[in-house]
Amino acid sequence: MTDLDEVLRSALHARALHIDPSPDPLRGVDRGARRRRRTRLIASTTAGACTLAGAALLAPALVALNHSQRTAVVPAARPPAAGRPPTSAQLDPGHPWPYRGDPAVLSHGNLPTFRRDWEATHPGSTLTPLFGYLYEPSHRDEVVFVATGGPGPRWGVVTTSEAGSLFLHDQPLTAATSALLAALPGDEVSRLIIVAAPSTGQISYAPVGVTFHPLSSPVPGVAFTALGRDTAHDAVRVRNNATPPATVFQGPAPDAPPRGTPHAIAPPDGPATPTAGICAGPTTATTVTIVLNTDTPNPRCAHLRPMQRLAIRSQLSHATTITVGHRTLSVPAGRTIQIPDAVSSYLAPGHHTIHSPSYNRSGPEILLDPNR
Amino acid sequence: MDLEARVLFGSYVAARSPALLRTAYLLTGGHAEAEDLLQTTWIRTYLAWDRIRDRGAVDGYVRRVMVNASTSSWRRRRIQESMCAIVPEGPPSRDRTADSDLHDVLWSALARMPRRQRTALVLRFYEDLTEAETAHVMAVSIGTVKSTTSRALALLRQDPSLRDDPRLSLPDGALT
Repeated sequence: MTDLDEVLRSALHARALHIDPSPDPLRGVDRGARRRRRTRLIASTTAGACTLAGAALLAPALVALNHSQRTAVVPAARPPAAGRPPTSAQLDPGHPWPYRGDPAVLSHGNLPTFRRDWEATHPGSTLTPLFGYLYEPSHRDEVVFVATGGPGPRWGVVTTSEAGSLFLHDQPLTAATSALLAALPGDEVSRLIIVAAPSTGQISYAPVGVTFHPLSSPVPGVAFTALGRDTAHDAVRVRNNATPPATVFQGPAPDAPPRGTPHAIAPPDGPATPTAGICAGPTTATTVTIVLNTDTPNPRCAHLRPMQRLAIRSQLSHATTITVGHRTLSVPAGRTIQIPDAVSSYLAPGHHTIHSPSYNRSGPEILLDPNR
Repeated sequence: MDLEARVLFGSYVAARSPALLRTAYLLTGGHAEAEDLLQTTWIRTYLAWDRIRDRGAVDGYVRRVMVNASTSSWRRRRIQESMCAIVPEGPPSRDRTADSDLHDVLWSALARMPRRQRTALVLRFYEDLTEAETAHVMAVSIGTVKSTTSRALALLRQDPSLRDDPRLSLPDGALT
């Protein structure tokens, strides 16, 4: 008699032998790639056609080539032609650059989800997408955005994950920014995304800051490149589409993000066994909500999977502050806050306590099980 | 893509297409679907070729693209997945050993299996990937690979066409 796994292996190999490979596997790949690029470009330019068609011609910009700065000083543009809105090389968060890229990335509920998750940790702030694309091979939607309201303008990069929105990049928007640069983790190697104004002519990259090589742009003003381990001397340059082209930004490339999660992962700090005696779950929901009641939280202990997210809902009559891992969050009275990152990105496997002054400095517990 | 990159890409495609087409066939169950899946995989890899720095890891990258493309295609169709139990095209079976009908029975059982479980079995038992490599390709945890594989094998054991087959030793709870 034969073990199942041996028969299975044999059956798969025998069946696969039936297949004859195509004599020309490359045929159609180049054409298919061009068609795919063209489809994406048509989709993105159609979405932004009204604004791009009305873009004003800018005077050549003066440049402050300061390698220690990430932004360049750009003088005010000439008044636009009558009836045409101005397009500045600088990003105005109140009137951001029109959306470019794949409009499908914002569909299927992605944009409302991104906005909801963003506001959960940035109350009063509204996210506006600037550029969206599908990142391969993970096949995840990624969006570069600017956000206004709240404590001040910010910008970032958000992607989808099994646990919902994952903010890969999140930082304040510096005044007079003319290029957004973000080093992002990649499936094979770290990558740099550069987003500049639609009036951009060329984006270039200089390894070790010696010679600038132009980068291909899926849409005007956007470019990608792989990042090496040491980018200390690399540089990025952005030129507009004037004749002759002028440099609107030149500065150092950001460091490649560290491998693994960017934030410290907190070790377990909870009791060896749950105080409540049992932990509810795990469930298949993407988000696990713990309710802060006046007397006891519900559940008192939650069993979470690594890719699940955590939400805290307050049934209290006053605002409170909770600490989970290395994160301290304010929870307004009667509101729900959601941590958009998967719990495994900031909590190590094991028992954790969500500390809250409402529960005598203790609080609900979390059991993070990496094997579930 | 510059000329040198095109040449490298072309060489890679020529070298790996036969093996990857077979994997695509086992994932999709049909020759035409396998050709489409492989074409989609190559197009996506072509578009990302300049960004792939570690040429030694291209195989893992391409497998992952293929699995994702297979998933996307299945979701777009939004139909209950079914494969022909017997491939209607292609050359007659070359396998004329006494096990050929057992192989056909297993292939039919695989056809009835959920996509995710079939993918795990193809990667583990045809591609011979480790659990960690399979987890990377499927973008899931190692624990998920273990449980998915275990459930897939349990499904095969319980399949009516295999349960009473005397040629198979199927001890209760046997796991690989």
